[in-house]
Amino acid sequence: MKSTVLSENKVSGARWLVFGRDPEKPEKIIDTNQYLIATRNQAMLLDPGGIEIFPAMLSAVIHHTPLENITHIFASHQDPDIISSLGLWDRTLPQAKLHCPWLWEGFVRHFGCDNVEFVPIPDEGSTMKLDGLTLQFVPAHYLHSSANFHVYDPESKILMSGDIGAALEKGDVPMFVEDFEAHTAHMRYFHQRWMPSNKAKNAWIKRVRALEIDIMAPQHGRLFQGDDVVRFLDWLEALDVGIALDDEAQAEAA
Amino acid sequence: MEITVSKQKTGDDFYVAAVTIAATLDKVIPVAENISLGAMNTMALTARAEQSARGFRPITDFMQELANDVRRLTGDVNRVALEVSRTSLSEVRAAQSRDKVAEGQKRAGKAEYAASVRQPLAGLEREVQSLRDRLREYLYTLTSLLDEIDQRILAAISFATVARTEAASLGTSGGQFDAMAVDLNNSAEQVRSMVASCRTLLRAHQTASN
Repeated sequence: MKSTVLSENKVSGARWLVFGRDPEKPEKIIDTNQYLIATRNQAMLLDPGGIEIFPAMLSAVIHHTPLENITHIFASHQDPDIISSLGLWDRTLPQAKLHCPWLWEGFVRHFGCDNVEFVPIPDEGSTMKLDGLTLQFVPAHYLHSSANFHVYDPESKILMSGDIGAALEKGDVPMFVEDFEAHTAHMRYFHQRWMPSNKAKNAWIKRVRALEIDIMAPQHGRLFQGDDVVRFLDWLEALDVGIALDDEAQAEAA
Repeated sequence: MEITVSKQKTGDDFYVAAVTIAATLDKVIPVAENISLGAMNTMALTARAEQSARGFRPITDFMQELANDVRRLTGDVNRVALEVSRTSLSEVRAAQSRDKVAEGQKRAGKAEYAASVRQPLAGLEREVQSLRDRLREYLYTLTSLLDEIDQRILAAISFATVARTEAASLGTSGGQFDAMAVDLNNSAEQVRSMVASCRTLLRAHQTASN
């Protein structure tokens, strides 16, 4: 599994890393990006992935931080590609806390959560400290999950944006978007079909436009940096989502 | 340094076998009810036949006791089988977790923090061993309970033979008693066959796990 350092603050010691593009991943499993924020004495795994990729993820992580430093896990929502490895992390990091939307507690516990402490994130979002670094849990409800959060780091100006910005591309693609216009072809259907609500989408865009973002880091596909972040927000604003309902309405009308 | 994980295999699907045993033995309950009913009928016949059928009194007492014992033992088997199933499932999950963590450690090679995996891996290995020990204890209890049912059933078959002899001594009036004895024998054989299939299932998994 590849790991790439996204940012490193020489003063605070905070680092963002992305893990993914695992060449040994079973073919039919969707490729995912996992993230790690490591400060001097602590670390947090963000959407650590499914059971199938756990060994690759574990082996990648211990190149960058000792396990005892990983004191927090974040799950943006309840999907298996996000957090079905929980039962394994639960045994590997028994001292950790899991930050997850409150709505999904009873569901996520089905993956196994005997040791890790479940910390529910309220609907309005919250903040947490990793050493001295303050991280924000930004609401992204109904995008696509009914209780959903993203993580914003105002120091590094990185927004981990879950399924927003996700693209379905095969193969060992570059970590960052290089040609935004060409990249929209890989994102369009995903956003139109997975995201159910234009209202939720527009509320999120309004909230995120207020943040200063250098890197937008989705859970699938390439990351956005610099002007591509605003390009993405403009593109998403103009996009109609929830198309399965439109298809249904058209079928009924016919 | 890598932690060596034990390669000893346990019955991976004991959790399925155990609930199958419980379900099989559940079918014994109606048979026990039938034995109990037979005991009551025999008691009534014995009372009507008075002195000539007095040899049947201990037999009816035994049948009643047998029905109660079978019901109780079946309940015990159910409880233990459920524990076997739960423990086996926990053991499988713990062993899988241990194997995944060990795989991660192996893949990491000489990663800077590879040593930090040692402690959780050792903890998982201890957990697997402890669950295996507990599973062994439950399996021993389960086998003992099946043995106990078998002993009761063997006694029932002997009692059925005695009852048929008693019935024959009653001459023509012994027909109904003979029918009761045949019923008892059939019920006992049914239970014996169910216990035997449970034993076969248990043995197959125990062999696979060694």
